Amino acid sequence: MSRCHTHGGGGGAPEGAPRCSEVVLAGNPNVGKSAIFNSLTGSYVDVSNFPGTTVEVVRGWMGETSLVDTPGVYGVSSFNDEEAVARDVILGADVVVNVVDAVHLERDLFLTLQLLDMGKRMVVALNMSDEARASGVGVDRDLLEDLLGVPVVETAATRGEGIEELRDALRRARPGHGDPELNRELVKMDTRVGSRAEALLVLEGDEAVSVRHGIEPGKDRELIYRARRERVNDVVGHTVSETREGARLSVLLSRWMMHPLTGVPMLVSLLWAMYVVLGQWVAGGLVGVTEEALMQGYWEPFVRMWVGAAVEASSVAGRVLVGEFGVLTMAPTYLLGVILPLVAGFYMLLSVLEDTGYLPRIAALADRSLAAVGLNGRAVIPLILGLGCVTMGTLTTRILGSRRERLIATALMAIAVPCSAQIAVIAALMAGVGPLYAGVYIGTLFVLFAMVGTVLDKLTPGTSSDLLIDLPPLRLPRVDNVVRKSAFKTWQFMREVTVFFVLGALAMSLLDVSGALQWIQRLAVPLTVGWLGLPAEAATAFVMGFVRRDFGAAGFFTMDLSAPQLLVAMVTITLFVPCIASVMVILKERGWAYLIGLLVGSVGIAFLAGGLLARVLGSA
Amino acid sequence: MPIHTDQTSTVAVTDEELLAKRAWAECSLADARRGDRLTVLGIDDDMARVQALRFGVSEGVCVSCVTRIPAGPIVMAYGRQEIAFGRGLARRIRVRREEVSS
Repeated sequence: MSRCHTHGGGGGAPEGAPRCSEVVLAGNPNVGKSAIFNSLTGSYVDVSNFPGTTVEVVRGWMGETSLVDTPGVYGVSSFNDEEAVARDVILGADVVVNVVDAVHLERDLFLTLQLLDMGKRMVVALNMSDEARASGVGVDRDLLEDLLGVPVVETAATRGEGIEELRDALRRARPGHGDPELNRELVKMDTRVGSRAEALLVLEGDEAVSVRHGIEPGKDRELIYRARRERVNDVVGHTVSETREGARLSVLLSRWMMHPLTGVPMLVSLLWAMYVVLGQWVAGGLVGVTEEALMQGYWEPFVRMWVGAAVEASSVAGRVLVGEFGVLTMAPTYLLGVILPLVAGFYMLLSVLEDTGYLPRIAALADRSLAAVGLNGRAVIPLILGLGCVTMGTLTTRILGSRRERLIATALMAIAVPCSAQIAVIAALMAGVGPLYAGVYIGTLFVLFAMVGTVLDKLTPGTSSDLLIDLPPLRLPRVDNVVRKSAFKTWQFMREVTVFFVLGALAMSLLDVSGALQWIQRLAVPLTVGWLGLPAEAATAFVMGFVRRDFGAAGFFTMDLSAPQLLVAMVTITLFVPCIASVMVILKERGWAYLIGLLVGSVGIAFLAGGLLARVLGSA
Repeated sequence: MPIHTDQTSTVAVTDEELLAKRAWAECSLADARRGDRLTVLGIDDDMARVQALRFGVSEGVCVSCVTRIPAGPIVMAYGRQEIAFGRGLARRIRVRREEVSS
């Protein structure tokens, strides 16, 4: 909420700069809103290229006026969480700055005309006007301003062009030309709900807004949309001229990215590059410094010394605070020493993929394969993130279109996708046994991924949604944008999961202190020794794997296993339950029943697959 | 009489040519080939119809097929806007071929 909200409604506001009001930025995904926000406020906001990766709303200040950014949306309604957030922010706005991409006006003006129908005081920023000129698209700004009835300012935000003009234009913000045909209905509904903007949403059948006013949602959404679409086409027909349409390299590149023959090798190279950067450089190199040198070298002795001065280290309180799984030792070491560098690295790579426009093309490429496991192409995003950190991937399943898809994707990640911390340790262990075993390991995971996915697709009720995705133009990413965006996302992630890591450490400490941990280890021995053909200590590694997936794998370093034993151990530990932080997040996102089913399923599959593999290899 | 025969045969030839070129045929978007120009006749999916409207695609709009991913989504362009439709959804989009790729 604005700290000094002036509900101007339509018009009515005095001439001159609106003092102490709330200005809201709205626009489609990928139109450069973040750059406009930065230049207007001087601070940063996260705006994703890929539709739906974040629902954060960030505010900045221009003197007395607050500027709020919204998630990129194609229209105001409640099709998903982002839209619901954007809708509510826009409803509360005094002035809306609608950012449009001059190259894609036929798409972007749909939102613009909807905002005009809402009767908000508005300014249009015709962004990427430099890119439009370069690609032969001419937009008649004066005519567009006349047709829309609001100030239209040409901007090229990434170069800082047009920002001062936009700031000036804010003074001239006014309600523009809505659909005259719709006006009568709008006025009638306005008298019932007291706001023209909300009246429009009720007429368009927006359930959330209708419920707020206790009114039956309107049934004419499609009629209204259709009429709006015709007006958009009309406006575009009058204002946009194309001088040439070139088949450029990016057109070919875009096609190659999506065709399996060329797209699959490109994707495999990308994943390999990600493995080298994250698995080897970050997990193997950087984490060695942050975890061992910094956290275990300085932080843990420091905190042990201080806590040791107050309580006995071997007492219950001492073990819970600074023991092996201590809330003040293991939790911060893991969070800051391991998770932080990995997640930051992953978000950095993801931001590059988003800003280049490659990600939606991977979604198109993977759509067919993922359909076999009841998902659509969009699910590659959580799955790729899951390779970084399953907890991060699980949170990202929010972008999927249906509950069914979220259930399937979460289970697939928890069972068959190793996280990067684990991949690093497994790669180090497997390096000694040759490429054949590594191949069998990867092959086994693929087969299990497909099998588990197919079974879940059959068992989960409902239908999955089809892929319908906007492919933004391919662009070179801007370094400052990538850095700011990934820093912001990393901060958001850490803020969200820290409590789960601390709770996880607490739970493990209590299990340890109460003796339950040792009891579980003893109980598991027949299974690990008898069925999997591994040494007795393997049970400890499995329990550790619950705390941290890489701990589990690392536990096998000291066991002197034969090559087949190692393979069995690696497959089992990968399939075994996800780490305790993911378990906490899964509990929060999906509930108890789902979590218990998932844990039983993953333990069952892990031991079944491991045992069968041990028999095939003759190691048990 | 002969004039009439000539006329009908001319029309028949033209139709054959058109059919040979697969033009004017009604089909689903899933049957589109790269380079085809298509007119959208209908989208038989309530949610997708409304979303497509926002992207600029509705009944009567002329689009072109950018690429078809083998057994996967169909990518079509409307102006400079490119949209990928999953194969299942593409089957529910009825189109008419106006012009086919050479």
